[in-house]
Amino acid sequence: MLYDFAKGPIVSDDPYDVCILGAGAAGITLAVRLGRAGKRVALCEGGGLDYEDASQEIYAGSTFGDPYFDLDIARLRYFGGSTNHWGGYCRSFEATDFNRGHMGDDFRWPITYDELLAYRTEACEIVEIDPDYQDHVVDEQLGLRQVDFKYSPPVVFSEKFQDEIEASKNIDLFLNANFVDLVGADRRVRSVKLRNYADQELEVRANAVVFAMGGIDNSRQLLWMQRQHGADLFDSGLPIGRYWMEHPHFTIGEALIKSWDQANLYFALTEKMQRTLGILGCGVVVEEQGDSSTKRLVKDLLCVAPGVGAWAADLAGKKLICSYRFHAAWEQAPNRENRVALSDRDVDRFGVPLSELHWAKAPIDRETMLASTQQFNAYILRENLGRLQLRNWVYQGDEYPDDDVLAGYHHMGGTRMSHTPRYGVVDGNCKVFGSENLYMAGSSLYTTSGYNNPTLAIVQFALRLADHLGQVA
Amino acid sequence: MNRRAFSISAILAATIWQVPLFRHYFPNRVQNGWILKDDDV
Repeated sequence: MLYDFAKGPIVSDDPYDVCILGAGAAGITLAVRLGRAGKRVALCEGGGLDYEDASQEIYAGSTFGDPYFDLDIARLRYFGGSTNHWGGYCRSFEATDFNRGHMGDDFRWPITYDELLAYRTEACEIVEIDPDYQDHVVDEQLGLRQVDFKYSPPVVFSEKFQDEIEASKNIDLFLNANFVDLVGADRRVRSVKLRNYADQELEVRANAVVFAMGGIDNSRQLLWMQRQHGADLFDSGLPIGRYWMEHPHFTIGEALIKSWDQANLYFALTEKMQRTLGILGCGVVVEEQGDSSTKRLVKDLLCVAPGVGAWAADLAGKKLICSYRFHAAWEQAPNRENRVALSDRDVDRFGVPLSELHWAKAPIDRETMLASTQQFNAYILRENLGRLQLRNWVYQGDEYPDDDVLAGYHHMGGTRMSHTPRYGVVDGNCKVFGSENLYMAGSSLYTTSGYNNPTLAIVQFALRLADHLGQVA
Repeated sequence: MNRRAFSISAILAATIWQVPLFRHYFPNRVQNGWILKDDDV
């Protein structure tokens, strides 16, 4: 059933088995899976069916540190969440990501790769991609492999599941129902308070409550609950909001390369090479450019290295070499100082402090990009495929440029999983440490970020959480 | 967008540190950004 709180007071048909706060990729996947399993679900969305300024304004905030996007344009706050506008790139975590304990406790997941992998095929069906990823090692010695990305149409979760949710006897979708508070005691949440834009209030009782409000607001709202309730509902002292991560995205150069048969290729290093170099994951995207770029690069190469420039000019004349743009998207090391915090100055229309995002890249992040690029360059030189020209800021050691892509709009960490409350906010079942029935869903769970786009794994984690809640809620 | 400025000393420290890091990974000859073999020039 669908209830629009904007149209007036609602009397909820509670208690529910599970109350999910937020209807994006995580919340919708979770609600549908639980509803199909016969669980009674309240799915509460702060926005409506379409974009509205009144809802989106709640995503405003401030950023500190490295240049980043304005927070109210970096995500969407209405039914379907950010799947209403996403690129569709799909690739999940790799075994390597769950095998980094040697780098410190900050890197240690409380679950295994296989526990997540078990949900990949079903997640791929939801985002409508082929689950068969065709990766292969290009060069064992240099640790270079070509990796396969899949492209969702992209699936807009609201469009895909709205009819099913509306027709479901088990799922009640509340629109324009903004989370404002938890009610409970003794480490157990009893109900959730929601408010519409006319300041009418609705209270929903549930056996379990899940925050699925996105990779920034999960932290913001949990920080707010910590401030409001102290240690009544969950452990005090949890690193809420901390270890927030993004995927830095920058063009690192261009290259003249003997023509490949594909316009876009993706490369990464093997687990063994990442471990040998002491770096994290980095995806290198190689995109073919036009003839004008080839001519420009040949001319430039002729000036600095006439011998190899003449070789390239000859191949270009025969259409046997062309220009490629090198773009890197890579993994940030989890850093406790990168964090979502509560503003001490600005609040949203419901009185909840807005987000402050403190984010900066660390030396190891630069090293991951440089080392990965070098391995790729070594392959090009050894095979005499062509030559790579790096951007000035890369080889001169300058600051990152602020006029590039910057990052992936991928908001990860903040309510991360860990084996201990010292390093994380939730346990391996996504339950907040010290709570009996408060859970987190979405990419805020990620202990580490990998280098891949987060959506496919968000769906995997939501399916996994649904299985757990199906047993306990 | 509201950002806190980094101190000049922090920027200098980062820049000085990053050049050797680049040379560590790219001992090759570099001209105008091109990563070259020794016999290219």
